[in-house]
Amino acid sequence: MNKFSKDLFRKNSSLSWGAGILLMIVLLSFISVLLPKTFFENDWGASLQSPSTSHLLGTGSRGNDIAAGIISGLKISLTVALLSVLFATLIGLPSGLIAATLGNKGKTGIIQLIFFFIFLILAWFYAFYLRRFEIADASSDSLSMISEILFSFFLFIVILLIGYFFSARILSRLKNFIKVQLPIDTLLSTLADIITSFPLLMIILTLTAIAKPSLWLVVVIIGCTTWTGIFRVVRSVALQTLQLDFITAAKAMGMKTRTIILRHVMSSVLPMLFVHLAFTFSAAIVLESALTFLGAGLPVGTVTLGSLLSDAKSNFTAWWLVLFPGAVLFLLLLSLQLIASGLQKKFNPFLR
Amino acid sequence: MRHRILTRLLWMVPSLFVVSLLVFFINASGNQQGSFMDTQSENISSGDFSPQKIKNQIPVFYFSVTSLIEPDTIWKMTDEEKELLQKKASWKKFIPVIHFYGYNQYHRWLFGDNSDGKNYKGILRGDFGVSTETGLQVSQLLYPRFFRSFILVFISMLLAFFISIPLSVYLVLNEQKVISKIIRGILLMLYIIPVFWLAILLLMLFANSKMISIFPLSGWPDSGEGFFSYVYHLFLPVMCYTLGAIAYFTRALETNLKEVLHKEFLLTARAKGFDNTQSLLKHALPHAIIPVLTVLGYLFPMAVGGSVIIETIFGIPGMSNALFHAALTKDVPVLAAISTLSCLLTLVGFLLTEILQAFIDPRLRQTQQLS
Amino acid sequence: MFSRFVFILSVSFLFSCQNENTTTQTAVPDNRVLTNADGDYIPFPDAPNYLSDWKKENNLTVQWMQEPDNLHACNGRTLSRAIVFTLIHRSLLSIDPMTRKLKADLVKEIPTSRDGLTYRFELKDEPAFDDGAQLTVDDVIFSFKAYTCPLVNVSGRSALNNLLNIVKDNSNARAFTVTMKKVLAQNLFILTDFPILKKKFYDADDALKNYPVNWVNVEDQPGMNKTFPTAWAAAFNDGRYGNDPALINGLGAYNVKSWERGQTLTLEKKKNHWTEKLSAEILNQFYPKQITFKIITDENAILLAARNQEFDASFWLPSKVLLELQKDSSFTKNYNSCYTASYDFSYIGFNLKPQESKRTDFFSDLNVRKAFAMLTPVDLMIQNLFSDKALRMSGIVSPLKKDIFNDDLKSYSFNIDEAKKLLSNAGWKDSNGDKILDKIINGKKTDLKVELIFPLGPSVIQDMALMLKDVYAKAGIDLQPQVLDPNALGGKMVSHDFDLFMSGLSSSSAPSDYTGTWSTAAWLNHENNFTGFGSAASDALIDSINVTLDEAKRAQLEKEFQKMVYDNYPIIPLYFNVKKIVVHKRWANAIVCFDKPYILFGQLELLSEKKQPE
Repeated sequence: MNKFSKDLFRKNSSLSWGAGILLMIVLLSFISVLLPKTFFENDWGASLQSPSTSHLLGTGSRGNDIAAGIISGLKISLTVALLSVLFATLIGLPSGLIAATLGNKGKTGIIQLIFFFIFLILAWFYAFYLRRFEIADASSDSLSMISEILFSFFLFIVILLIGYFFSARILSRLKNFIKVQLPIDTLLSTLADIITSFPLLMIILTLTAIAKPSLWLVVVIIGCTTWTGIFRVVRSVALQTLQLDFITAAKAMGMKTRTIILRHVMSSVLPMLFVHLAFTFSAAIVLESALTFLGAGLPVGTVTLGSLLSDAKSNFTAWWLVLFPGAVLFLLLLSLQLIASGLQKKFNPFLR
Repeated sequence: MRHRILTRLLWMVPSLFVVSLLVFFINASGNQQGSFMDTQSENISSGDFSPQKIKNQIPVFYFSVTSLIEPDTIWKMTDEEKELLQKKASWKKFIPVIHFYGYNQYHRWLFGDNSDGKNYKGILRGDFGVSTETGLQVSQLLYPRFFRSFILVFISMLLAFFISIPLSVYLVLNEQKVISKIIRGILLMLYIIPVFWLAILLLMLFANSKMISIFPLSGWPDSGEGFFSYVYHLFLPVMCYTLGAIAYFTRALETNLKEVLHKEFLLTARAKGFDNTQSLLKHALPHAIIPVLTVLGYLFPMAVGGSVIIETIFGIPGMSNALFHAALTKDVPVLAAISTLSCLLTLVGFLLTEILQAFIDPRLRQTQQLS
Repeated sequence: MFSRFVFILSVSFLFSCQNENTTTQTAVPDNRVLTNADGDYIPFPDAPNYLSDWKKENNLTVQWMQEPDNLHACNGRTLSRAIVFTLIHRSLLSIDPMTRKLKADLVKEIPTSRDGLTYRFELKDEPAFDDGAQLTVDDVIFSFKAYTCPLVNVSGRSALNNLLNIVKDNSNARAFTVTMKKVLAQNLFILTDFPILKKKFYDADDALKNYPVNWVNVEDQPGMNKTFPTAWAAAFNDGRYGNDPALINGLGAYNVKSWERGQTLTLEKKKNHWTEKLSAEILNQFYPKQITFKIITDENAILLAARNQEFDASFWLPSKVLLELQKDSSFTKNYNSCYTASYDFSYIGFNLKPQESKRTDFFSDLNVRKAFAMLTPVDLMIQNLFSDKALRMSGIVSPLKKDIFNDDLKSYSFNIDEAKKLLSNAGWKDSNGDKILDKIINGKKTDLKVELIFPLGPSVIQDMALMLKDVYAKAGIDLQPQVLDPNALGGKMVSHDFDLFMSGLSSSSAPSDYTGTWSTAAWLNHENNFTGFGSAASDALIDSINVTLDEAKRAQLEKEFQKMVYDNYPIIPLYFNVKKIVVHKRWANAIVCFDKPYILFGQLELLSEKKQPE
């Protein structure tokens, strides 16, 4: 452990507490590898038994061991949250940086704009429309479906890149009489507004009603709906940084925009991003368990903290069903909250 | 200022267009009519099925991109026929063609339809059609539900406000006391606790025949029942809502108060001889409350689709419950109505918040004038 | 006057206190599942006295699990709707819930037909609508015109396929003749399903005047309209006719007073209803002033509501809940309860003809189906999930139908080893050691990964699917349960897009017509034959069952058909549902029957108001 991190944890009790609890929980979810398989099986005859030596935390309505349920539920919660936060960052970080640096002042020729739309349609046509039956046929197997979809995305991007090359090398030689202002910042912000204006659970419920439930679906949906928060944070921090004097100085010195962003803007964006990621992570966990609590999203029979709690909802005379999964979920969220506020204290000079 | 509001208003038009497109396509992809089964009993008994599949008599959207091999009436074909065409090896299929259609499903959805004795006015005139599950006009179905959801949200928010304002003042004034530390700990816990767990815990405590059974598990008072019936039925859901809101409001107010306290005009106020409490109540509080008050702008959208979990757990026949049910049964018109309404109200909420903030914060107004 | 009233009350209070111990001892609930061997219907004994904490109002509150999809005269499918219809509508004939025999309802008597095709009915004189207008033959003819109109959404219209015409009698204005196309055993029973509507109310402009009763060949008939009455049909199909209490109008003794979706449906007794002029027979009496159907679905909420005596009757309790309640002495003091067998069954269907929907061919092999049936732990399910409150099913006919029930068929016994052997005989082997069986189909190695679709509903259904998943996994089958909302499930079943489905079939005591559910035509036309069962032989057998009028001969054929289905394994039979019935003791005359409406709600009379027989 280097000096910085030592410093980070010693002076920051909430951060170290949070990290400690989280570490314990993560370790707990890895225990499952060591346990015998029968531990995770349903014992249909022994439903709703109170805690005893054979079932440490009691059993649920299917005779499922609650301890086993918590362990596998934690694994799913953490996986979903991690993947969806990654997904959200992949969308939110670049879009936030683009919105902040380009602003509303960017200009482009109208011919380039028209060609962009033409290539967009072409890309969609070749990548998705022509391949729609291949994608649909592969839908029975999640792995082959993902590879088909990835291939489609690859095609889509390749065609768009060809379009970019075309417009950059060939069209730019044409004289552009009409230029239009591209309000990229406003466009992206409005898009984020629209997405946040949908009640989150509503979009998710609607989508899960249409698509076949799977872990990937939940990840993609949560990712697609939570990136707006990351986008906002990145955009506002980047905007603030870009207005600072040393950036102006760097610009005046002839530093490339790319270098400025990567070296200076990113260094101030990243800490705030981490703080926000901790919040997003806990939001993703809450969303995932709320979804499974309502019985949507994941395949039938997947044991998660949410599904354990929905089991508790119909049998709350069984206190162990209510208490244990809820407490674990609570601890998980608490640890993330502690980490987030610890990071905030560390990185946000105002709060310090 | 006026300029800014005007641009905001203008931006709402494309936003609403995108929202309508999203809602339409999400819903169009789930659109399939079938029939009913007996779902609630332990028996999985079914009646008979005579699903009336809606044939696509008109195209979906204003334009479509298809390949040259496909005719321009492709929307009338079944999936199998389309796939057969697609499997043909021909150079023609790699040539994209754009068709334009004047009259289509989206257009009809927006502007209404009067053909074949139908009297559908279109969503632009507030007609969301007929719920596929109940056969009821969507507006008729949702109207009483909106009222119920709004009551729930409104009472909870009001209560939360009246509790959290004195609470936050107390916390700021007595920062170091043990009691305030305990209160802060409880507030943190309430802030984190997932609402469904809180709800189940409350039910387990107060509606459990083996513990204390004073409140009902679920439901809404029957029409014509008095005030006490409302208290009886609404106590637990309102409590569930309020506890979360208190945690949120108090935290926000506390931060705002602390921020304001360091401002210069308060220092002058204190210099003038006001003591700490007086200056806090008279000068800081109004400034601190205002940002939190903007939450009121979101009351309506919250009433539309923001309380799915509370309404389903407590069996409140409100909007969110209708939304959940509609999503499960793919009742497309209801889904479309709720999503559109909720988006519209949220966008209006954004606008109101911004106007409110600009009116309150003189700095914001000035920067707007400068730019 | 007042003091005497108080005195009587206090005496009865004392009396009830004294007797309390004895009543609790005698009213130990019978936990057996009752069938018609216990009588044609089950009467609950009247409580000896009125306890003080019982409610006094003459309002009946019924707990139920699900509200009707709508109350439109002909366009709905839910069970709750059928129950409400027994109170608000009347039809020409009906099935007596107590004897389960055909009974004349709006007509004077059940006619006998010489050729089995024409039936001459004469309407009773008493039936009248709310405004006092007497029921006429025109109303009858209008109703059937409406139900056969191709533009009207009618569920179960295929039942009316055999109806040819209804003609008014020339000599008697209150008589008419119904003509059928073919001689079928079910001919009269189709008249029980369709309520008679008021023509003036639903068709004030007489838009259907120039249309025949049978619309199928409307073009061929001379003098008949060639254009369809689109405007009238659109108006009649409108959702308001199924939702707005003011627009629901029938001949029954009750009117819909209010309906709050998701909450309550309240019926109100009509004043001076025409049934009061009829004989004093029990089914002609209606006592409760108001009947409220209240939706309480949550198991905990039902428990709580029963303990607080919030509802008076229910036929829809989860078995776990009723068993739990019966342990309470306070519950048995207040309520009568019993378990009764029913005609509805649940089953798992195989996709026998997967080629059409491009599914993998798992189940065209009889051995595989047999193996799956053997792997299904039905007894374990009934024991663990239903607490023994379901009847193991062997054939497709309820044991309640004693005459035609084939008791030679034995239910499949659970046997993993035998099933494994059958599977390996069919070519399913675990060649790659991943514990999932595989087989080479069309040159491609396929895992035995089977999707099971089942309807969204109470947790028990999901538990059954998960239990199956557990047990199948032991034999190397990867079962993937998928829950679907009922509409989507129905759509998939009808388009044969599934591997396995779990569903139910509801039936009644009327003679069954297997055409819609088991004939090959029903598969081809995407009707209710979902599995694809059927051959020329089975179709012929179904036809001969339908045209055989002789009871004994028909019973023989029915048994033969049950055997045929049993041997072919198109389904895994699971169980016949058991109704869990609860009636509050403050109601006298409580009668439980095996067919709908399970409890005679209208005939429940307040114990305090019942005239004691001298």
